Amino acid sequence: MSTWDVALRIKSWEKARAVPAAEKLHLQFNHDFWICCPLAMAGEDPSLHAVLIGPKDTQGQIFCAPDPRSQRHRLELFSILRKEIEGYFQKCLEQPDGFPQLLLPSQSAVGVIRGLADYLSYLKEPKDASKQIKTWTEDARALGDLLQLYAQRSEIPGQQLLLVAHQILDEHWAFGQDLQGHLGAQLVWMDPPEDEDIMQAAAKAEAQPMGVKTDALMDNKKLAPALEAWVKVERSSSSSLASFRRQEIEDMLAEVLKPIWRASHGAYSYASELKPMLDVEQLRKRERSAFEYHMAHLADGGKFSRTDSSMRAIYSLAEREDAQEQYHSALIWGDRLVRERACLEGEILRGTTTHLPTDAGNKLVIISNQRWLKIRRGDEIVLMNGEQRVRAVVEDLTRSGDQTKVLLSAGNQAAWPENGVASDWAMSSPDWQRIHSERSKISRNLEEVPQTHQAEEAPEIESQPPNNDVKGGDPLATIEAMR
Amino acid sequence: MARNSSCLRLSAMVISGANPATLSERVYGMPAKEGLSPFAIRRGERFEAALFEDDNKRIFELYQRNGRLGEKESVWSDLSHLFTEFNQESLMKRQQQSEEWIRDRLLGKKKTPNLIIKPRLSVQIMGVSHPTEPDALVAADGDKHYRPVEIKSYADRRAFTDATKTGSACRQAAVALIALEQLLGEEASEDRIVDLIFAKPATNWPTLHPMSVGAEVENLKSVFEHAPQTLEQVEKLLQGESLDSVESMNKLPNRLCSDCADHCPLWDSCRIQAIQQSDISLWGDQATEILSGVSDMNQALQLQKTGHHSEDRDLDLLAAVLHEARKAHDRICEDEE
Repeated sequence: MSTWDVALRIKSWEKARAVPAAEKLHLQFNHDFWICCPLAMAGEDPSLHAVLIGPKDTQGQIFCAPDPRSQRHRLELFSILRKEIEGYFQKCLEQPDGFPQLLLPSQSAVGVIRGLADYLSYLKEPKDASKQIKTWTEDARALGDLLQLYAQRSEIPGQQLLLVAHQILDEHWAFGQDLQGHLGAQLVWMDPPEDEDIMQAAAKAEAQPMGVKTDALMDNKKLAPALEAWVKVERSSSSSLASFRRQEIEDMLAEVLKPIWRASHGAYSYASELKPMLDVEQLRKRERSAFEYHMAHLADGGKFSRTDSSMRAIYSLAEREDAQEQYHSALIWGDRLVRERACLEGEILRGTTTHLPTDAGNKLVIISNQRWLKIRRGDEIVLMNGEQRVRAVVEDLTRSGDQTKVLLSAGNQAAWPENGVASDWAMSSPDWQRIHSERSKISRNLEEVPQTHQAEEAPEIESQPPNNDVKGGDPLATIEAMR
Repeated sequence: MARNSSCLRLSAMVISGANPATLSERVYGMPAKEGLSPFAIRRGERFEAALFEDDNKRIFELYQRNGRLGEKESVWSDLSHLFTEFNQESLMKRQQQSEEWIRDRLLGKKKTPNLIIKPRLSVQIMGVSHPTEPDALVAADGDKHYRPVEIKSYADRRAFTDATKTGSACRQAAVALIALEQLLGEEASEDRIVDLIFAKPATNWPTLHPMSVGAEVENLKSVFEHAPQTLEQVEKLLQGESLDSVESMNKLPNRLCSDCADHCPLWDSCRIQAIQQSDISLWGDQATEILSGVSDMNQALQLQKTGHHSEDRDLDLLAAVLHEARKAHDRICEDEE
């Protein structure tokens, strides 16, 4: 949270309703995305007690394991889910740009999906198949393999496969209260009641669970007795009584799940009113490519290793770092509110332009009144105004009073901002191809084992006295001189 | 108390020995919240039962597999089975037996168990003894000290294990470590390490994680050390009144944090008070930090609107930034409209 966020929180509190924190939608909903609301049993991690899942335009379907502590019930539920999810994946694969987008209500629901993926896809087939308790099925493992797609992408900034309803609202609106990710309370701020204090109304909304667990009171008073009653009749001869008891549990869980589904749908309705930002297509291409790779890996009989090899770790880190940078950059370029925030925090340079005489070379000066600036001498920055990209190198910065004078050296003089005109300069612009050159650079670097990783002893390095001569012995100047 | 040491209201209740849940119900009329789900309780019981069945087979195998105990180092004692009655005398005996074994091991006097299940120790705060019951204490034959063991049925998902759960387990074990340090004084172990036993996902098979809890121990000790000053402050504020009315409780300043809801029964009443007083804590911990020095939400709004503060330089800068942000936001949002 920054001062910008606090300022928006104050404004929202004053207006007693949510205020925009973004001008554009930072993602795009697929026309056929699914909503998925899982419920887990308290203490049982990972587990799935019930799930309400389906395309967004439907009411969804509830699938339930009446007692998720029982291996048999768990495995039955996983078989049904595998069929459903595999069908969705196949349908998306057949579309030219499709990928199986899932909207979850909360971050804890992401935890359930990740937990199931990590548990199921590493299930080992028992050597002794005649074992009384069956702990494994092909369906369970296949479901885990499919869910691995979400588990692996969920950490990538800007990913569009696994959307989280409360995060979407948090990213695009500011609320006059710290709601700690409660989707129901967020929706109260989105559409405040006319006849009630908004904070009181939000507190009431918090009584409805929006996470992945039923509340302890319900567990104690309703669910635990119902489960006990069902366990007693499950194997009895009266199948009608057993199915009655089962239905009773399912109905209880449905009562919890339906409001969560509606709230997730509500978050989607608000978000879909915003126009997507410009670079969202590039983000979507990445999702399609990750999805295709995942499916091809599975079709080849590929498995997922529990730990990364050092090689894979290097590529994954590079991919994540690149995603972080490109996404952040895309937001600054594509959303004016994000740009203002970046300006306030000194991430972009804003100021009036002064051209220097021609004999000074391709130089211009930007005079900025910003309080903070995160640019340094030697940084390459990009002009955000105008249609043509102008790149410049920061030659010098001098602070005097409230003003900072930034001397830039730039090419493409024809595209420079005019004298006296205000301009914005960003640290970078989105470069969606950079990951490819990064990958080949890493690959070239990895061809040779670095000296630090060689078996032989490292050569002794002669210690040198500190160089105090540079810039009069000033250590900061010494560091600057190395840049 | 250690989770929100700057909340004087919570500290006052803990030091005076009052139960926060009871006070919340009696003073504020807030219905007591349901504690743990019965499913979570039963899961914990099943896990512990599996660990200790067949003469503690699984827990000894776990320690042997991790190279902490040898095959023959399997002497154990379950103190909850030795002293089964739940009365003061039985509990005292349990504590005496635990302390005797801990001292004997230090002196190398006689054979002591490698595993003590359900020992009872005590922590002294301002001269008052508070009992604590770690799940177990463990030591190899050659060890001079026992190490506290905290057993939780949380799924061990390695790097993805819930950090808040690991944190709370560490804090619990740190209390046991302080009890051992207070019992042995200078002879106590310098290694502030405890063992956390978690479960492999969806099974009753245990995993072992030795954890360094130096920071937790220091944090708790500092809270205990400040207890006399806290008490003095409370007495000054209450001026002889007891903690049995809303008025006297409200005289003690609280500090509402984002995780109060997870552990404090007073959370609901503190939040209602914060709403009535337009307290900045409702904007979250980070916003409270950024707005330190601002008295309430109304002053924050005033600062944002005027953009300056004549008396305080820091507030003046804050006001200018808030004002600038508001202006930029208004400009773009009005464009949109």
